Amino acid sequence: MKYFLRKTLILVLTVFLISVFTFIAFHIIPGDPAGLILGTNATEEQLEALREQLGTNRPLSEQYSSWISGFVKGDFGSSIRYRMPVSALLKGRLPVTLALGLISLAIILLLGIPLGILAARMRGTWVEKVIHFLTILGISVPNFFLCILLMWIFGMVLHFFTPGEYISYTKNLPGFFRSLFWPAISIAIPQTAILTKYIRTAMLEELGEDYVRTARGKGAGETWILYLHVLKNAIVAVVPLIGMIVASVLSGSIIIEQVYGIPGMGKLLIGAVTSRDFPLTQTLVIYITVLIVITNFLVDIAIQLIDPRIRLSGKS
Amino acid sequence: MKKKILAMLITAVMAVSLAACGGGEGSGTESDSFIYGMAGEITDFDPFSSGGTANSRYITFNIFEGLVKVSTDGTVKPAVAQNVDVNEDATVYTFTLRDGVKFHNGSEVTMDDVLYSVQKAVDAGLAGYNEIASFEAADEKTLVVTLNKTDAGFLDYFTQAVIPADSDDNGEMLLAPIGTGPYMFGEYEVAQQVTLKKFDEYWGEGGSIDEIVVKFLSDQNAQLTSFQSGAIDGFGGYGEMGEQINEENATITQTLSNMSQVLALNNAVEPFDDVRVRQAVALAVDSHDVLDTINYGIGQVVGSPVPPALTKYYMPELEDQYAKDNDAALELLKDAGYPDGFSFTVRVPSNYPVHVHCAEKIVSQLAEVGIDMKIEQVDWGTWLEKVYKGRDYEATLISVDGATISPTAFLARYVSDSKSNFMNFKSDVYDEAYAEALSATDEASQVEAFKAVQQILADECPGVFIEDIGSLTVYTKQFEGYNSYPLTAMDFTAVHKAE
Repeated sequence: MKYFLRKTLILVLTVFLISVFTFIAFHIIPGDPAGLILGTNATEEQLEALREQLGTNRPLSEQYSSWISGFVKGDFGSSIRYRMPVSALLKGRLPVTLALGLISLAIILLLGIPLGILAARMRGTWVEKVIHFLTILGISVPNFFLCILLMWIFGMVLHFFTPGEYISYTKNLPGFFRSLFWPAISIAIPQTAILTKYIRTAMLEELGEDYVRTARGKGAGETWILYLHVLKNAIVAVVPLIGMIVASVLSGSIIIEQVYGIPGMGKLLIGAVTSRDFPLTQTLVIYITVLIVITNFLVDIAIQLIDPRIRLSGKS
Repeated sequence: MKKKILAMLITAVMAVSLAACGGGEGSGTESDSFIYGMAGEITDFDPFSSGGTANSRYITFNIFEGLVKVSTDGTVKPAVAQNVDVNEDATVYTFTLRDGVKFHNGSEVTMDDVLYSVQKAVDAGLAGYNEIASFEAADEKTLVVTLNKTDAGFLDYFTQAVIPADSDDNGEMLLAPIGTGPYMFGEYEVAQQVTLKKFDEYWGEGGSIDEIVVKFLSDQNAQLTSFQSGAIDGFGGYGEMGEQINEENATITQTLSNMSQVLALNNAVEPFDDVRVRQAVALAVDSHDVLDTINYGIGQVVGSPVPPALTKYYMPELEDQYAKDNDAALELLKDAGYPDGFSFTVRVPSNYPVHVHCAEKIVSQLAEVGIDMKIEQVDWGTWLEKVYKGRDYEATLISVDGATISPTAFLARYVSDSKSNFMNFKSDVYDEAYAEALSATDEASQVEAFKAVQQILADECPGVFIEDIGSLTVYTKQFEGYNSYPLTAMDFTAVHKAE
């Protein structure tokens, strides 16, 4: 119980600090939302009238306090750029980003864990060398470049999919998942590579432990040792990594949504920052923060379930 | 065992990717819709926000109409008004409303709607509307507008939208526009796309495509990818994209973007406060080379902010007033006290790759005369705030468009005390000549006066007017038809299925 209280407190504190950082960042970067809406032909009177209407002529500290007092009551305010409530904008986008993230995570786990095991089992053979080469490649190639490469090879040349086409989940659910598959692959590849590398290293470390020798001495089969003992212990070493992977998947989706034209939270966030839309940026940043903090919280619980020796206490 | 795992893995990967590509086909072009890909997005449809941004004009051009509307040759033609009478000294404009013009909501346009719309434009402080002394209905079909002073070009301002009376008291037009145009608003998906539907009760000859979808894409790369993959049927872009399109499966229309790209120099900072330095920079920049190498020759070299589309006012003789001449440039630099050149920073908006690429070209041209130009890319919000409004810069590269097709839309900003004079250009001679041009009573003398204004501007050289960047409109082979206008507009009524 004490543990949950402490965790919740940390969540609230993190969210608050992040919102203050966003606020400070907005203070530093130049840019006038009204000017961005009206463009270069606007007169000073029109700009002033629009600022009054949008409330952006108030000091930023006042905008922040009115945003945060609304936020704690569940009111996220109104988007300056899109002139509609932030909650209405989020409604259609949260499921898109969550679906994209979950598909990516599934791909990462389904590919990363077996590949890592395979590399450990086949150590010293050409299989390990190939996997090693692919992981290095996956880690080093930047996300956005990978996107373009995938679009070109699988979209333009092989016609597996239509780059630039997005199908809404409200119109066609299977089509929606299809249009998210390749973006999810783009997000997943670097993370899969990292996970594969970790699993392999953890497995090899465990294989050198005394208990493995003991098990062998007792006549246990190699497969039995690998899956019952070694994998279990290796997974414990790797689970904390999942928290980091989820953070990378979310930040990766910001770029990938932009490149593939997917209307999720990431694409909205870029639009919000470039148009200096303070309430929208704040709310999106908070959403992403909460998602990451909660994931790490779940990871903590998962570790304890896998290995009961680790006790959940408030201390780290 | 080894092989089993490997085989299982491969099968799993293949199964997933096959499942993913199953629906690749069949989602492309429907027979009665046209999908247009736009770089950037629009965020509202407000017809009263200073003419809006270029992007929103692309779409609203099809939804709204004024008493008159722009035609392809740059003149205005009757729209909601059937007839316009102008008195001798161009101070009283009398409009007769057309019978049977309907709004998209089905109601007929009445005098109340027209009066409401004019009042909205006056209240919004739109360009030109401060010249109106009074406007009133003489009868149910006749609107009389009286101006404070003579203005032979005033009709241009009446392209402003007519909307239903009382329909925009609380800004309803922002997200659900109602006009009289050939296409009506269908659906708006924020940051994603806008759908327009053919308006069957349009008074004139409407479009032939039932449904127009305008997709918002992040940039020109996304436009190219989406076009090549078949996700969109057409798009508009800059000349520099021309080389990347396979002409075998595309119809390309080349036009001009109707705005002059300018290397704007801040006339208030050293060394650009010296006209000789500005002229030296102009001589060192080779506009023809920029046009040929960056935009593959698609576009036109200019020497004035007034684009070639304004045929009456355009002065071709200014194009080569500062033809590339390094010796003359060096001579001027020596006179001005910079025999060894100098260095400065050009702030370029990063959201316009075409300007960034041109800046890169100009760096090498200026280096030939010892001028060291550094490029600093800033995002659009920063550019508007710091450069355009704050005038905190040494040089920048930009194309400035005009809200209307009047020469004043392009020349007014160079008047010394103009609020949009972001180059800090100061010239008494120019101010006088400009005021004189405004007060000309007949068209011939007005044209002459505006040409004199442009000549002064070219001599005083506030910046380097480089080119009217060519724009491309690209369709798949299934579609054709494009109307070019002297201002930013996309006329979807021109689009039709290819034979």
